[in-house]
Amino acid sequence: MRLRWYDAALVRRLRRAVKERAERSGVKGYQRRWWRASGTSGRNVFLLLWLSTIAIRAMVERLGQPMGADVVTGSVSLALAGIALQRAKQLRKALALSFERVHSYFYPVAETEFLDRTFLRSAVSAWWLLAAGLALFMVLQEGNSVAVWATAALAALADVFMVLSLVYALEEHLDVIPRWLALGFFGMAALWLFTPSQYAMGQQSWVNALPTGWMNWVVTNRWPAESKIVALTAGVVVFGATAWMLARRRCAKLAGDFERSLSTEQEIDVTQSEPTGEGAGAAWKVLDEEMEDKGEELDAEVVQPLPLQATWQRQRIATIGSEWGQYVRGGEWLGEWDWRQMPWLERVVAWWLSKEEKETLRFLTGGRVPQWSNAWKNSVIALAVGVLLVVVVPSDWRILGVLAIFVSLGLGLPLLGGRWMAMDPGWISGKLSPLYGVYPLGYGRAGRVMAKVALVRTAAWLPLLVVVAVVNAVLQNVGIAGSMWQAARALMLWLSWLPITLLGKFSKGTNDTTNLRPSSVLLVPILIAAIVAMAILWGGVLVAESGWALAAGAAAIAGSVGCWAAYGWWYNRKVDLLRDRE
Amino acid sequence: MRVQIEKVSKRFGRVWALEEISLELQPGQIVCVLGANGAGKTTLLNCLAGVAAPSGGRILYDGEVFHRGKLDLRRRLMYLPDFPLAFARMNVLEHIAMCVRLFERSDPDPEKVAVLLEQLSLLPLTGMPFSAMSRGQVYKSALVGLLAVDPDLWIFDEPLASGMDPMGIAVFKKEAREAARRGKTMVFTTQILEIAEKFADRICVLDHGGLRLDRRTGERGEKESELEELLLKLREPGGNG
Repeated sequence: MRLRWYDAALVRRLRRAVKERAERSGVKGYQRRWWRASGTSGRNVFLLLWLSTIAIRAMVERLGQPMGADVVTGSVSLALAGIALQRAKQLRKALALSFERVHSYFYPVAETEFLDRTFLRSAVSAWWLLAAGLALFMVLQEGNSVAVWATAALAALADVFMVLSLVYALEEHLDVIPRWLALGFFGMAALWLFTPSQYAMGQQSWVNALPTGWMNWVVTNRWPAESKIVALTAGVVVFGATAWMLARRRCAKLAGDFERSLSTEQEIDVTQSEPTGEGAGAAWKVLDEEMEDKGEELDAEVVQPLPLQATWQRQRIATIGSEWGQYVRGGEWLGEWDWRQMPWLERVVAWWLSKEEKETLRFLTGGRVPQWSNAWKNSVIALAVGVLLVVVVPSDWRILGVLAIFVSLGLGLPLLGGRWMAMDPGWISGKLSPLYGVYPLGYGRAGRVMAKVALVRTAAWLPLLVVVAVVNAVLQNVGIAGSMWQAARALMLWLSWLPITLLGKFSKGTNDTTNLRPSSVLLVPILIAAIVAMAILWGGVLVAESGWALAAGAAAIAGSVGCWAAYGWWYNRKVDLLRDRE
Repeated sequence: MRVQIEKVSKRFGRVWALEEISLELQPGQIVCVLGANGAGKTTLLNCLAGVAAPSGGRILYDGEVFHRGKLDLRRRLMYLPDFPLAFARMNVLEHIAMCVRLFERSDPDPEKVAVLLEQLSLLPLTGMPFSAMSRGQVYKSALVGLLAVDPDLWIFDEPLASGMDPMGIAVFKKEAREAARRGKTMVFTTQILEIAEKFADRICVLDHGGLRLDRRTGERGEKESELEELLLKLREPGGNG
């Protein structure tokens, strides 16, 4: 089986012919930049290179410190867990939404072939994990013997198989896994790398308890080399077989689902948009009857309808139309949302918003009622579980409680700006544009609405923050006042981060980082200055004495709002709401 | 709405999609933008709608310089791209209600909306979400949204290749003509020369980002075949119109 759908040699020959023809006719052809190859956008490549360089430097520095090897492997375990989740998402996208997925329906490609190829590509694209793993495990060991090389190679291979097993196992269950968890693992990996040794020592066993930490544990423990090689060989065999079996099982299931979809009538789920009102009820009654007559419609697809049947069908459609006509003429559908009927958090938001802002909010949510109260309730439950775990279970297990508290934080606060349907991408002439692109949505008003929502949700989470501070005081033995002050610092950081997340929400829909002009070079020093200033201010919030920390917090919030406003000017005049497909 | 396009250029990387285009459109005009694929038609519409920001030059609406932040101006125009941007879970009524609120219009007459939906064969599909509709049905639904807003400037990308059925196209042409009589300006792109010739008041031909022809229809007695010849000539190696 080939990895590509096309013959690369043929493409090369065609490209050469086109180039020759273009040169003869004097037409300048489109040239793809090398960094855009393999479907990766330029900014991602540079960002990844930059982050990788930073990570490698940090790891090398850490390795020279006490417990350095343990901390680095712990960090790698967490990062690999994030990578597994990230790759599971990519696999899901390739199977459900990718360009190839959509187009495979229109070409004579067997579903099993598509699935096999997609899973194979997912496995092959993990090659760099093997190389990175080999380098890491060589650095972690002393010497340059065959046994060291064999240990490193086997550990790297076993790690890759472990990651692939997780990818194939998790892909099916992504719907129940929080979207931010992968990012959370990456964040934890970064934090772990800078954790002081005395804190890392107690929790290292937990980090290596992750499946992605098992190989690290084998490589860094004090077993004889032969034992390590045997254990790692077993790991390669077991995890390789697991990955293969999981991939086969998932392929078989998806192929089965596809086969069944060919023989089952697809029903349109229209209940989501069911309107209310008497007229609508009558209309739906007619539609329900329609659904009951499915069998007859199936027959109609096979047999050409007789004139009498055709007339009858037309009459049925006309009846549905007339029922809907009554509903449309009633005009109830033009009404505003009744905020008084909504849960408490949504009501508080509505109380703060003006009439125009409420309409903007309705557009931003895509006409769907938000679920903030529900998210807050889940956040309280997660926090209760976290506090219980921290207080009740032995100290070695407390990381589970801390994780639950992080989950609570993620549920209760819009850490990355929140979910806004109007920011979802749509198509304009082959390019991606945010849905709001063709509607008069103002940067200022939309940002204000999103900020108000975030502030109300933050205020609703404050009692939970107090609980976290109290728990922290008990655990760290720092006193309630000291812990409350730490919570206040965290709150200032969050408030100064919020405008930047909102800015990012708009930036995501634009080509601001890809369609650069020569004049954009002038912005680089301004950008660097802004980043440095914000980093200094955030550092001040974290470490300065109380008065200075408050001043730094206020300045950070003001600076962050300034960044948001400055970007708004740029957004309104200089960038396009169009992005190339990545 | 009077539209002044002054030396508007648009650059994507090393490619100039538009090069110093200058045009002035008067209220009540129906303007057709013609050109080969990649000529810059959609880019021009994107600039007019505020989706893309010109790299050079400026656009003025009724004498006021336009950019994306001018919401009062943006509420006076409406753009239907080749695939209208709409929320997949919304139905046509929710879409219309959303449009009139966003564009700050008073509520439309429900009777008129019902008649329009009926004319466009959308009445039985009123409760259906966009995700379950065909492309033509989505376009017709978006058209009803536009008619409910009744903007001063109508911008359409390939409305005649949008999947709309003949009834939809007939309604579109009738409503556009009536709107032009009321002083509304309309800009649309198409590849169907016959329609361009018969339906538009004015034809602008773009090629390689430049304006190659700007003429009122019938001004020099152009026929469909002459437009076709012109377009073919522009695409010949070294051809510049």
